[in-house]
Amino acid sequence: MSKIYAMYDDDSTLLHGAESLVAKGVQIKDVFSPFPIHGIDPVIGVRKTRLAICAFIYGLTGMSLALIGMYYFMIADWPMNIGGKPNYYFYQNIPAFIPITFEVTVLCTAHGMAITYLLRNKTLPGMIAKNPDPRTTDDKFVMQINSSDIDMDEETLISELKATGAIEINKA
Amino acid sequence: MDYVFSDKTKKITLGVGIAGLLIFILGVLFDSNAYDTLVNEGHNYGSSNRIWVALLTNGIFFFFIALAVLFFLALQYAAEVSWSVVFKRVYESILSALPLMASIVVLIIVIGQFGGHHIYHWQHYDTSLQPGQEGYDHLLDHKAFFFNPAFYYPVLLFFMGAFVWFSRYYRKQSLLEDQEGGTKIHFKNFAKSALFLVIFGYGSSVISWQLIMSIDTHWFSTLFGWYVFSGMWLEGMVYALMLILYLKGKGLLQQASGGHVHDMGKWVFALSFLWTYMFFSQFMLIWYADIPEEITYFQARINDYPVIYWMIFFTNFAVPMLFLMDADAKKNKNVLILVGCIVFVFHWLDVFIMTSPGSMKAEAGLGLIEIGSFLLFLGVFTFIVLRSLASRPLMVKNHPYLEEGKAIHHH
Repeated sequence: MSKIYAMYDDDSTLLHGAESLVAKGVQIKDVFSPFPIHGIDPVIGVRKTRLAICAFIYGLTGMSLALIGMYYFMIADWPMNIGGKPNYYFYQNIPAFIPITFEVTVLCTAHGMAITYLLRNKTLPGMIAKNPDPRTTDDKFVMQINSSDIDMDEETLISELKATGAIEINKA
Repeated sequence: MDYVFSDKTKKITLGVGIAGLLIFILGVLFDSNAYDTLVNEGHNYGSSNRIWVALLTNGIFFFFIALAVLFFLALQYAAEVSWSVVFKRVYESILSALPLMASIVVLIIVIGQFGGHHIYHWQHYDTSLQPGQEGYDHLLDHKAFFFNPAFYYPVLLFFMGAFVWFSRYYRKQSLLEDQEGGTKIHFKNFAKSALFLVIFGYGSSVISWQLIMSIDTHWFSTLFGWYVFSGMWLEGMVYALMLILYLKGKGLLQQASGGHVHDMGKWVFALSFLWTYMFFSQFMLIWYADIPEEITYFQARINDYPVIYWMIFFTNFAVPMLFLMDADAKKNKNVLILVGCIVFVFHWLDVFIMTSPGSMKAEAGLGLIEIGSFLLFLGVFTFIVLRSLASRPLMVKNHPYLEEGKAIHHH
C-alpha cells in the first residue's frame, strides 16, 4: 500500500477538489490543514465528534467533586461560622457553594476536553508530529489518499488530482 | 411566497383575545378577593389592585417581548449579522405591537398617579414630610428625586418614545430598502443601531427600575436591570422562534433551511443560562449579605410564594438545559415548541412574581383574572403581529447580507 499526498495552496480549492474526487469514487483518508476547513467533514466522511459526551461526563465529575469536597470541608469535618450563616446542614448552605461548584465544573470540563482532544489527536506536548509535511502547519493543505482504498490505478489518480488544482504530489 | 393572514387565523387569534376578555370579566365579577381592601403595614393597597396588577403584568410582559426583539434587530445591524436576515420581517412584525404595549404600560402608571390604583407606593408618598413626623419614610425621602414626577415622567416618556420611534424607523427603512436597493440604507441602519444600543443600554435598566423595581419601593438591587433584561431577551427570542416555526409549518421561509432555526434554538438555550445566572447572582449576593433593606424583596416572595418562586427558577433553568443541550434537539421542531411554550409560560410567571407580591403582599392570586388577561393580551398581540406580517413581503429584498444569510449552512 502506498500513500499519496496531494498538496494544495488554497483551502477552497482543496474542498472543491475533494468533492469532485469523492463523486468519482475516490476515498480520501485524511486532510492536513493549518486551520479547520469549514465544510470538509461530511465530504471526506469524518464522523461526528463525541467530544461533547466526554465534556458532559467531565462536567458531572467536576460538579460532584466540588459538592462532595465542600460538604466535607464546610459541613462534615469543620463547620465554619462565616457571617453567622447556617453551617450544620448542606442544603442551608447550598447557595454559597454554587459559584465554586460552577467554577470547578467549568475547570474540569475545559481541561478534560483539552486533554482528551490532545490525546486523541496524539498531539500532547513532546509527541512526534504525524503530519506528512511540515508546511501543513504554515500555509499549505495536504490531502492523503491510500492506494489500497481506491479502484483506479495511480497514474489516473495523479492526473485526477492535478486536474483539481493540486500543486504538488508526493508518494510515501 | 408571502404570508396570508387567513380568516381562520384571524378568528383564532381574536377568539383567544375575546375568550381571555370574557374570562377576565368573569374573574373580576366572581374572583372573591379581587375587591378586597388590603391594609398591610399601615399602607392601603387599594381595592382593585389585583385587576390593575394583572393588566400591568401582561402589559409589561408583552411590551418586553416587542422591546427585546427591537433590541435584537438593532444588535443584528450593529454586529453585521447575516444569518438572521431571512427572519428580518418576522422581527419587524413583532415590532408593530410595541407602540400599543408601551402606551398601555404608560397609561397604567399614569392612572396610578391620579389615584386609580395603589400598585406604586411612591406615587402616594408625601415628599414634604420631615424626619420625626408621622408617616415619614427615610428610604422614600432618600429616593424623592428619582420619584419626583417632574423627573420620573420625562425620563419614562423619553425612553418609551425612543423605543417607539426606533421600532417605526426600522420598519419604514426596511420597506424603503426593498424599493431602493444599494447599501446606503443599510449603513444608515447600522449607524442608527449603534445609537439605539446606547439608548437601550441605559433605557432597559432605567425602564426596569421605573416599571418594576419601584413597585417594591423600598427595595433596590443593582443587578435588577440586567436580570429583567436577560428575561425579556429570552421572552422575545422564544416568541420570535414560535412565530418562525409556525411560518415554517405553513411551508413558508424556505430560504431558512440551513440551520437558521438551529441558531434560534441556540439563542433560547444560551439566554436561559444568562437568565439563570442573573437570577442566582442577584439572589445569592443578597442572601449572603443579609442586609434588612435588601432582603425585603425576597422575603415577600419566598415566604408567601415559595412554590411559584422556586418553580420559576428550576423550570426556566432545567427545562432548556436538559431538553435543548443536544444539537439535534435544537433543530427538532417538536422539542423547540415544547420547550418554548414551557419557558414562555414560566417567564410570564417570572414577570408576575416581580409585580404581584410587591403590590399585594400575600394576597395575590393566580386565577381567572390573571389567566384571562394573559389570553387577552396574547390574542391581541399575536393578531397585530400577524396582520403586520401579512401586510408586507415575508422576505426582504436588497439587504446586502441576504445572499450570505441564505447560504449559511451548519455542519
